[in-house]
Amino acid sequence: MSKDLSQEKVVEGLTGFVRERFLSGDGTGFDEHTPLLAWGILTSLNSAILLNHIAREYGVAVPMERVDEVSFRDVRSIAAMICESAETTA
Amino acid sequence: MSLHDYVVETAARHPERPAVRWVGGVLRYGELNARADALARALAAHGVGRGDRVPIWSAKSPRTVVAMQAVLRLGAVYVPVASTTPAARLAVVAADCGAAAVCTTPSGVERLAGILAPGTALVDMGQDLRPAEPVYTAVAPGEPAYILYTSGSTGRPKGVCVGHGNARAFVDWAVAELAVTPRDRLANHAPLTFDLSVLDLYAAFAAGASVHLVPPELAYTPVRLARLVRDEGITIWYSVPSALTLMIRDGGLLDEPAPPALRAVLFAGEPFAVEHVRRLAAWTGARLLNLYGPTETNVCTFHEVRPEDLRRDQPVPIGRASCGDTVWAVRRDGGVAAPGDEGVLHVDGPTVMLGYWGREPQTGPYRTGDVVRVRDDGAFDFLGRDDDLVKVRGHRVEPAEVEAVLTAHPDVGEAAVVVRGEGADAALVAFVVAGPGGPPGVLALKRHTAERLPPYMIPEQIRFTTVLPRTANGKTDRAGLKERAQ
Repeated sequence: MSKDLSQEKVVEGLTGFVRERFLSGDGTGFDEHTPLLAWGILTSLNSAILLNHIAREYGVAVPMERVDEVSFRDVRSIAAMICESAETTA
Repeated sequence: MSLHDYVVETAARHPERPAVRWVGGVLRYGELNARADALARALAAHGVGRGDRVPIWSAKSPRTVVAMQAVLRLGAVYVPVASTTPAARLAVVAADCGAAAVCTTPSGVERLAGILAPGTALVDMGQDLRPAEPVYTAVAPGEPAYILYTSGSTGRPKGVCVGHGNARAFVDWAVAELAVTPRDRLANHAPLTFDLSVLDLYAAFAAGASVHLVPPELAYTPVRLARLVRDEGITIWYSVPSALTLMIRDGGLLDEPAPPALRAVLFAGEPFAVEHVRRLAAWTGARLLNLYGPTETNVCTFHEVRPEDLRRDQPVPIGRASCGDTVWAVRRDGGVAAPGDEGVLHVDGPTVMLGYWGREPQTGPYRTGDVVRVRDDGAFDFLGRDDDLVKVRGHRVEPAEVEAVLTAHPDVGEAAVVVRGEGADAALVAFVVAGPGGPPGVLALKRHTAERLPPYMIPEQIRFTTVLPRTANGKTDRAGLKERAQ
């Protein structure tokens, strides 16, 4: 991930991705604070799709230890984790 | 003998032995016993006593195991409810079983304030408790030990009430069949709300072995699940086949040689695709056992995988009766199925539940609703269901319950829920006809169901349609919808 890619850009990109892939494009009301795990939007079935997207789009391999209910609570927390991981590996 | 005797007796003889392990920690039998006594005193101070029902609303953790032991030694009945279950559903469960108290975390106490029936005590299971005198209540085998709530076909969850004798018949069989010793480390993959966990916990406690609590979030990272088997020296693994499939397919389980400590792999809850069983068998010399039984009977049949099973093109058999039970299949014409016949499996014996909480006690055989074929050797092959119940990664779901919740939304006219895919890829798909107010939106329905149902019952996909297809006799055409869902 380029160092100047802001967390806001990641939030925007992830929001669009989740809306398109996991909500059949019908994301009315979906935003960065919508609970992903608690509302069954992110599941054990589709989490691999998201992790692959993150690796491809942002060049970040999410550490397995970070895949938990805190880091994956919503788009905002995932974006924060991506930026943090990118900085650590830069 | 009571279900709580396992811990009490092992703690008396071997307090230093590890009882519960988790990543980075261990709780020894002496500590588990002492903490259970202390919490039992606290529960008793809230008026909890013999026969009372106590939901435990918390994540899988050593504290939850302590709470289960605390409730049991009061002669009370624990009702495990996962922390991911919404508060509204916990309230439904608590009301259904007439809970005397709810044991939960400090945040749970806050969330439940005001939504439980008056008189239901809220007990913080995380509180620091002073050491207390031992608590012990002897109970009869026919008294209830725990209630497991499952999806209900009437649109409401139903509580399967399991007695001390029911549970012990299964646990004692499992300990003998697997020859569990104090050196064993059993993995607890299943949620504590799921009957698979009964083997993990209590077979370990009965033998003075340890149980390793597998964090539920590892479901999202099969690589870590596979690594755990190796790193934690697991000797007995028990899970739904879906978990093993994910570990094999996405977790690289078979990429390294099998850990020598692993000596038994047990699976239950759904059919296991035989190609994965073949790969497992080629990878490890561990015993592979298929355990079968609905929550109402715990495990009532089992089958140890043999070389000839791997040459078939269908899942391994569910096998023969276990735990002292008697099982047989009844044909459509009412006769007992002979080899080659198909029929619905019936179970009678010591593991059959006491009944559904609040309903008439179970007397006589339990009709499982599972259709089987009798093999030439008298064992059974599982074929499917004779009703609408579906399985999603081992969790059983009554579509009617999800549909009842969906249609309770003001903008939903009708809804039908089917399952798409199978095994590790199974997912619920809801077909929804909008009400007069127009379609409510996918997110709105996700939220609506998440506030009322446990996560595994939230439809993965929601599709809007103008009308639900009907069969010739006017019923929802579920077969047609299932085809559309693929």
